[in-house]
Amino acid sequence: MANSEKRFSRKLLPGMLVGILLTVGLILASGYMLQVTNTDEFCVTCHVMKPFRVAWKKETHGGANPKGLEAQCVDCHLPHGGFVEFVTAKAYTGTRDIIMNMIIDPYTYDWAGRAKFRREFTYDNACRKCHVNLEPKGMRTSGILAHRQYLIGDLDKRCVDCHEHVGHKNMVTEINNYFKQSPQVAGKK
Amino acid sequence: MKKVFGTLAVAGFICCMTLMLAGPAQAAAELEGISLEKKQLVVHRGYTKEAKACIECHSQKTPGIVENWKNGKMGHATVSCYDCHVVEKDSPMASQCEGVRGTNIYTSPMVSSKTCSKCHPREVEQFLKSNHAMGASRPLLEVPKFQALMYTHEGGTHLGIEKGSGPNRAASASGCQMCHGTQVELGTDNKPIKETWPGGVGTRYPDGSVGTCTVCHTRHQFAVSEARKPEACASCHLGPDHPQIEIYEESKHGQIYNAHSEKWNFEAAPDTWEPGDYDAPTCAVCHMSGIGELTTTHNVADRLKWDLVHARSEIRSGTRGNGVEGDKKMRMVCKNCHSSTHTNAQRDLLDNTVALYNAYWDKAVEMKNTLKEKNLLGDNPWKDGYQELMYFLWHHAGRRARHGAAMNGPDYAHWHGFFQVFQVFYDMEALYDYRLKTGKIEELSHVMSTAPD
Repeated sequence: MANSEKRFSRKLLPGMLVGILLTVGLILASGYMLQVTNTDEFCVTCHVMKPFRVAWKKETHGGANPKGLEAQCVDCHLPHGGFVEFVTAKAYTGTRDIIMNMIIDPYTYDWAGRAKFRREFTYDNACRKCHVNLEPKGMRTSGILAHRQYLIGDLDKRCVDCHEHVGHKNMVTEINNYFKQSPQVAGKK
Repeated sequence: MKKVFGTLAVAGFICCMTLMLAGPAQAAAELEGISLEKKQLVVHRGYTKEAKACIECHSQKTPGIVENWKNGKMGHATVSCYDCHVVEKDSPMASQCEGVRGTNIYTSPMVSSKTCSKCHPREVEQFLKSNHAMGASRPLLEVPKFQALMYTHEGGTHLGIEKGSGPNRAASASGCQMCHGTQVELGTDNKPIKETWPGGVGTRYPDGSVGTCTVCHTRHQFAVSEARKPEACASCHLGPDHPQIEIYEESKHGQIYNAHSEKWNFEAAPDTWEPGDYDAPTCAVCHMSGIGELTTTHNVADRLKWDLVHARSEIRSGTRGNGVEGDKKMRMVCKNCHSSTHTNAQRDLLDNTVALYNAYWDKAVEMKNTLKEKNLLGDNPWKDGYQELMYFLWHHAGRRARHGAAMNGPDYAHWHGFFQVFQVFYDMEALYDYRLKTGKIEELSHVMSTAPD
């Protein structure tokens, strides 16, 4: 009897594990979860993200525009080529952010220095999802000049190389202000 | 009624004061042969309110700048003060000029290649790969021997001048960095300090950007016609150690330029400026401009085979370019005007010149190593005859010989070049023999001048 029970559980174990993993994976990758975690509110559940949100709110892409449009964090910081690319990058970025959040000390971390790597976490195909026409009516000569060079496609240029500050207004100042506050406010226990 | 009189009185007073003050200023200006009238430009075409305000204020505050700008292509394209000088409040270079003080607009007097790349990304990308960028300022910031030359020897710490003081930095600030560029340092008001700015082509800026386009495309006209003339290069490429402009002047190319260039067309669009617009090349034609099948490049090493600058000439590789490809491209340039016989003969001559110079240099290195082994080299290379001469062998006479051959300047290839190379070398040999024979360094350096010229 005991033997058969053991056999039974042994047989079930791999199946159960796979099942659990699949279930977790499915839930995480479900439309609902994607939606829930695609908002700026979700992003600032990590306290270190708060100043970035404050700076974003003050910039054109965060709603400081006459049309009231808002580009969410994920609209710029995740790729928008295809669904697989999007989910893969989301899973990787999300996991990485959680781990980094536990490792780094936000008070001493070189946030401004990190901006130099903005190419790695800001995607051209994300920008291009909204900015379909790069030579719109009324664009100034200088913009047309630059965008034509970009559209030819033989330059090592990404949107964020030239458009450095379109996502967050005075980001470094906001970060410094935030982390200079008392640790309680900044969420440091 | 009272109000009207009051207004008239105030207006009258302002007019009188303006005339009274403007009169002497204008008279003084006219005496100098300039009549820069103090007038305020009013612009409407295609500018934001903020950009308009800059132009209108600066047309009075710095009329020379605005006059220059309005006559250039930037003015035509409605690219103005605001586009290049306004920075994020967050920028390490953010400060405020008088006109925007108290507003939320921040400016910087410093404009690096990064700003230019917003509209000219291709040009800046090429430029950043060239030795005009990081390579130009490297000696000042990363090479201890060079730093010792600037601050210890030239800057007079051996006289007791304090290291880092104004006088100590004067030699490099007025000399070296004007061409090479250095790391810009900021004063308390976030404005650049004099000892580090303005600077040369390889200037490194507080925001991490590198390079100054306005060295060749001078402010505030940024004329392509200017950058295409040899004078644009000549402000750095001249003098005893790299007399490119002097070589050009005496070359057939320079002769024709001086004879005919007032009839040439310097205004054609990039890549369309071809033989016919000119009938001899300027520096830009061979090294940068689109010609025949070649397209314009801002990487000045793109068409070079040899490194003729450093102590031993090697075929360019790594950060200094690709010499094999460079040679092919330069030959493509020549063939727009010259037969392949002429081109090949010229290129072979350069190869032979390099081989000859390298033979001198290798022998000099060999002798130096022997002296070093036997402890027969002075500690201060600038007081040690052998090492001083070795520097001139490479840095002055040897470069002149190589550059003279490369660009057809016979006087530089010969009299200022190999004629001095061999004499310097003989003197080095004599010192070498003397030291080996006596086992000691001669008491006085016999190199009493700054260089054989």
